[in-house]
Amino acid sequence: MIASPSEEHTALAELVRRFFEETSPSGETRRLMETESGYDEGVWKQMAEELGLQSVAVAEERGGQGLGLAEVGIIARELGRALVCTPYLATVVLAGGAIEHAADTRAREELEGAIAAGEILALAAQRDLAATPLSARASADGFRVRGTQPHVVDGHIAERILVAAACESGIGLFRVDGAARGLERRPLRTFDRTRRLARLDFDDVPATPIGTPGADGPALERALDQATAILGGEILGGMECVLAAAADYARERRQFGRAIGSFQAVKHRAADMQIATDCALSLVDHAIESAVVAPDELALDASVAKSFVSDAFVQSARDNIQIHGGVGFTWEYDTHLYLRRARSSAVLLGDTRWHGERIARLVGVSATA
Amino acid sequence: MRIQDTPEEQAFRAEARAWLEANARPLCDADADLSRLRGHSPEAEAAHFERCRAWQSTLYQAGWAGIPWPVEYGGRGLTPAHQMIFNQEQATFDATSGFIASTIALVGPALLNHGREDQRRHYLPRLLSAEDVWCQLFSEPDAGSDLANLRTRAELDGQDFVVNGQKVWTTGAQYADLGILLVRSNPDLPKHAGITCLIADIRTPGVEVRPLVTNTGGVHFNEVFFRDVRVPRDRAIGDLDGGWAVARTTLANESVMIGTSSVGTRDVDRLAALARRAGRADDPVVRQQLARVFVNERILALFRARMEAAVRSGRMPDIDGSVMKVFWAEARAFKDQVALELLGDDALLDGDDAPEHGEWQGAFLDFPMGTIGGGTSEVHRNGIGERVLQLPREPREDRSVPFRELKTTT
Repeated sequence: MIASPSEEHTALAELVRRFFEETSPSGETRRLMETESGYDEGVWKQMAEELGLQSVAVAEERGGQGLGLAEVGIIARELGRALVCTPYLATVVLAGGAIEHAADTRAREELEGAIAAGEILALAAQRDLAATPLSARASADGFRVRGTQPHVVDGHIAERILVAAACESGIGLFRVDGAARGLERRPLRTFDRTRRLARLDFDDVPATPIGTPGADGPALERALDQATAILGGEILGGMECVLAAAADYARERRQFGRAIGSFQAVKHRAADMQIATDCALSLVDHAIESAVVAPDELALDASVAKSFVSDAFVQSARDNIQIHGGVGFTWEYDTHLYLRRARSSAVLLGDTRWHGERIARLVGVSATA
Repeated sequence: MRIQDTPEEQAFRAEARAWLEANARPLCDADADLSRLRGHSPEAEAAHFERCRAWQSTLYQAGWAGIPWPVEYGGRGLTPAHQMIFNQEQATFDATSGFIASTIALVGPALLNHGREDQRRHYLPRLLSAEDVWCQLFSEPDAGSDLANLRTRAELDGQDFVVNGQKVWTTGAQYADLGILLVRSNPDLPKHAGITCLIADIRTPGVEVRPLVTNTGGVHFNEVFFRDVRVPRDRAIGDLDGGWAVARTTLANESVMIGTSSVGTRDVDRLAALARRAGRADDPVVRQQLARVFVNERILALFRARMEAAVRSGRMPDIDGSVMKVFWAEARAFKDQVALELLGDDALLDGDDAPEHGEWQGAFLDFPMGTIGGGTSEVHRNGIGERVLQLPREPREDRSVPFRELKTTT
């Protein structure tokens, strides 16, 4: 997949990388960071219509390419490398995963068709599903959702929002129209300007169940684990980018009459970045592979990957700044954009502590043998 | 990363497993397991060594030694993938050739790549059968990280080299018959160019092996002294003054071997048992530490899988041996520190008064086996920076100046 890729995977990665090198150079990322929507509609359309990136994992009969998560992971890695401002994670990875696992056949057909056609979706859910602040109750004219989900990725631009809400007997997955009455969406100022969040307030908003209300928890759990593995791919791309930037700079920048990369203090920091990146690649590759071929192992493998890459990306992004020296913390250099992205990725879908505790539980660290 | 056997590999695995079942006991990780070295006394080490040697001899008799080596050198004529499969199966049994397996992996490639045909035919089968036990005579007191600074002198006298000098950090020299020895054969050439690699007979007059006691009290290593030791000229591996190439072959194999070793029980299970015993299995800090131990263990398993995938498909590995080695050393030190913390006040004790006969105390002291043995983590980080990231080397003058003119040799 990512480690020892097939020829097809290498070709896909190169195609996607070239596309984002052209459509999302640094200047473009910086322009989009300042816009209200936070993404480029033209590029998003091109991704859907010309490259079919939104639909790689969608079945062919629903307008997709009939590939799978491995390909989504490859695309996420390139998005992370180029720091692309895009609702891809929200639409394809988060909402798409929820649809894949929790939606009934009809809803799945309709929504995946919409994703393939370039519609933007968002998922109002949180990593700790059981603690969801949203609730849904049945009324005479269908379900209504109440509550506040404070951090929804790309919630401000989604045409439709998938909502994980607590029903009487458990979690249910619902569909809410982005323009529905009673839904208030407030775009938030984010620390990582390349990843947008919105606060969504639901005041008795009409919602259509798309799974089995009350019984969607396990399916959503799996969708979130899958999304965690794919987010790992995005993080890996970011780590590879900052490592390459640090090594390039260490080869070129001269002080005391030598390239700074010849000094051991710098060389060893770069070597540690390489080691961390090799670790991340191995863990992320394995987690995505589990999502494809060993779903029973996905929960543990996704947590193992995320618990490592969350902190590792932050450390690599900081090391990159340190190796760049003074210019590394100017606004002009992209180094801080990756540090911000690293922090946002560290928190999203569970941080190191959350996943660490889950690993301890899953591998059987307990007071009783 | 999950690796699938081909039908042919599957059959080979089944054959290996059947043979192992008939010839060894499954590992049970109790005190009864003989393949684990317990304690550091010379007696314990010697008994362990003899078991390793006997097992290697059994492997050879049955045709399971040197699986990827040509048949004419005592091997089985298969591929490195087959060797990996056999090692994986063997790891679940209470059987190991221990240090002998390491010398085979170090000496074998040197002879296979640089030796003469008559040397290969003579030495390789005896190496595989453990009829000859080898050791590696590379490091010296002033040639550690800077190995090419070695000064053990070999002067030609007729058809013999006469060797004088001292080696150190020699694992297993007390049991060895032969050594792969680096000597300074020509001090008028620059340091890397004037080195020759010899096959030395350890049991010859003038060679003295003295145990080197390490901080655990163990005698894993030795110092080896050479006083006017005659080594026939035809015992050189590779060209006269061309020994550095042989050394590089050996060292490249060493870091991969170290970084890929240690399979078997899950460390996290052992530490979880310690945490339970200490009543700290619910402590959130401990739980985070054990999670990290598990993650590190998983990373090492995946590194091995990446290496294996490359070997099996005959391509160059996409992971550097130094990356594996440095990470392994740090993961190991972290695990041993966590274990010691979990012992609480019992960490104050040692030997038979300590839990598990002081094994964790020993492991804690032994961390340099990872971070120094087989090349320091610093040297390996240089390698990662230079080989993998293409960073420039430090400027140095010692590559072009004749060895005898270097300040360090006075």
